[in-house]
Amino acid sequence: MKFKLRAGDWIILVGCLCLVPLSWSLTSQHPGEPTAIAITVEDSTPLVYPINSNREINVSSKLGDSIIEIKDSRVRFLRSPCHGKICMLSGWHQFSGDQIACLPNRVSVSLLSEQERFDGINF
Amino acid sequence: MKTKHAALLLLVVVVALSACQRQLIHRYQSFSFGTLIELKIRHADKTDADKASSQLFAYFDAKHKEWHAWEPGKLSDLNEQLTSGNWFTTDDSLINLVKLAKTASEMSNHLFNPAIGKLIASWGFHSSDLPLAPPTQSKINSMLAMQPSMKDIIIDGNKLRGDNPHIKLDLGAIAKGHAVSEAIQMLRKTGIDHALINAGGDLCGIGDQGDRQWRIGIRDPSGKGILASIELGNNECVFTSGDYERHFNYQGKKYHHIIDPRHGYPAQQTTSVTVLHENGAMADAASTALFIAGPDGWQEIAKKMGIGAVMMVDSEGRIILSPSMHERIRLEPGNESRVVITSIAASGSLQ
Amino acid sequence: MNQHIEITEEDRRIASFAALAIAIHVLESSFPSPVPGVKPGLANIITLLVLFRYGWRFAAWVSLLRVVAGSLLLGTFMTPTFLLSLSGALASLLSMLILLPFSRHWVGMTGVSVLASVCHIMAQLLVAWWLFIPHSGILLLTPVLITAGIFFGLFNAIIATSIEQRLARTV
Repeated sequence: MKFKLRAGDWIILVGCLCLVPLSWSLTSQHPGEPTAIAITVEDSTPLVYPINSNREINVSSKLGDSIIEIKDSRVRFLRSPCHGKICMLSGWHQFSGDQIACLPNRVSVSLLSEQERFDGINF
Repeated sequence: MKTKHAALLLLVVVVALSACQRQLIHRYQSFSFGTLIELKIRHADKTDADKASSQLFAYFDAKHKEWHAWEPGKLSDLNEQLTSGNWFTTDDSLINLVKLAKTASEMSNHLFNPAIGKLIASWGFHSSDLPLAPPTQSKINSMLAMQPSMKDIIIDGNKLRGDNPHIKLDLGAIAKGHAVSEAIQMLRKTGIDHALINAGGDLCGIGDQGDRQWRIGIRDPSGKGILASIELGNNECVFTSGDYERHFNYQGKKYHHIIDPRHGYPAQQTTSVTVLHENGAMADAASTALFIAGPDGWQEIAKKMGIGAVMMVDSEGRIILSPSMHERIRLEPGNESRVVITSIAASGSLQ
Repeated sequence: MNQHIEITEEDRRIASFAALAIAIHVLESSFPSPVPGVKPGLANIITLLVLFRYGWRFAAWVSLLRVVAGSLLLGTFMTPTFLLSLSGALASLLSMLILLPFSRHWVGMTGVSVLASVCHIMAQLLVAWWLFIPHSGILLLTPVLITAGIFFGLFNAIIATSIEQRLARTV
């Protein structure tokens, strides 16, 4: 059997192979205790809140208002206007690198650790 | 499948996987230059990075000794020679540093004045222990009367001469910045393009972190967490001078180590100043000069020193930002009400 | 009322190939897989052959018929599995469409198969993440799944090429 690979085949093959280590580094978890949460609405700059002060944050987006609750260094979607309510059902999150997303409403919450947030502190 | 093609395919797979491997960030730490120095190097070859880091820390150790403000070393020798009035020479790196200090002093209208070493010593800051009490007013007056200035140091090529027997160089406000800048260039020469040096809270970076720029958090001078964050550009330094670094309390009043050479007392109206600049020595000296200049005079000095990005937290807690600093930093939520944006060009001169 | 639905030669061809694909699909589903949800997708061999012989529209019909009829036969119609299967098929069809202008000279079956396979698997992962397991931990599977996608894409391409060459000799 003759098995010839054309230029485009090689490009696709190499490209997909590169995706493997790339996706590994992008998705591997980050260590450290979370010190803050970042709320992203649509594509705007994330709103960052420290995780050690209990509070409820109201966020307005495409489908309506969501409430994100921080309590005892954990975070959850307390209320969301989406249909499936999957973000709410996923409950409390407490590990850095965790992410809760309400995709229909375009709201996402990530937990950040100091180590991950900054490469250095200036003072 | 033809064997040739199979072998080639296998080779491509291996090469592709190795080429795509993300460069790891190697971390090093050392207590040097009187502070904790953290080094991050993003480089594929760990052996190279290891070697570069030991060279770097050795360099810092050496310079810390040579440029020490009061312990015996090259700088102490230089200070002695300056008081004699004779021409003398010393090693190139120290001459370089003195030249930089002279330039920075002139550009800052001598608010940054490293020649006031005797005044600093009289405050007790030339000791590893913290002072207990401020010097008397008459002592300060006598120090001021000596009028030590960088203008009194004449430099001709590699020869120096002091014109004022009362000069004592204390390069503490510029030496660390210069050392960090030099160290980063050293790394570059060994083929390392991505690194971040954090010398006790002052940083210089080259290249980037890999996924993004080097991201730096700027501490709130009041001590309550992070005030703002910034993404360092390639070859950029961020330096901060604060009233919390070396200070002591006496009879309920706080005295810190950034002395205003005009009246001999710690500068009062500023809590901290953060500057961005590509040169560490300049960033270091400027943060001191601008701190002393205070909320009313900093724009003029910033303009003269060629500093575009300035953040000053004044004694009332207001965050004064130059427009370019405002663009560069990302404030932590809750601080917006404290911000005042002040253009550097607007300093009373006709525009 | 006289409704006359014309069945063309093309329709017959599509139906035959779809039937073949469905059969392979059903057969394959009876085999256990080491990683849940990851299968070689042997039915895609048919899709590949059909794509290169008869064009994209043909391949789209065969692929979608296979997904729907296959799920009906397996009893997974309108279940999450069906949604995953459908999204995977749509993603791989899209990638085939994108490669279409290049299929004359630049890419052969291998490139198309690998890309379609990776797109198929990634689409399924994303849908699973969005609708079923919103935990970011699911994304940790990405490197593994992409590797599997490349592997099975290659595997299918080899078989499809072999069949194609045999067919070329006989026709």
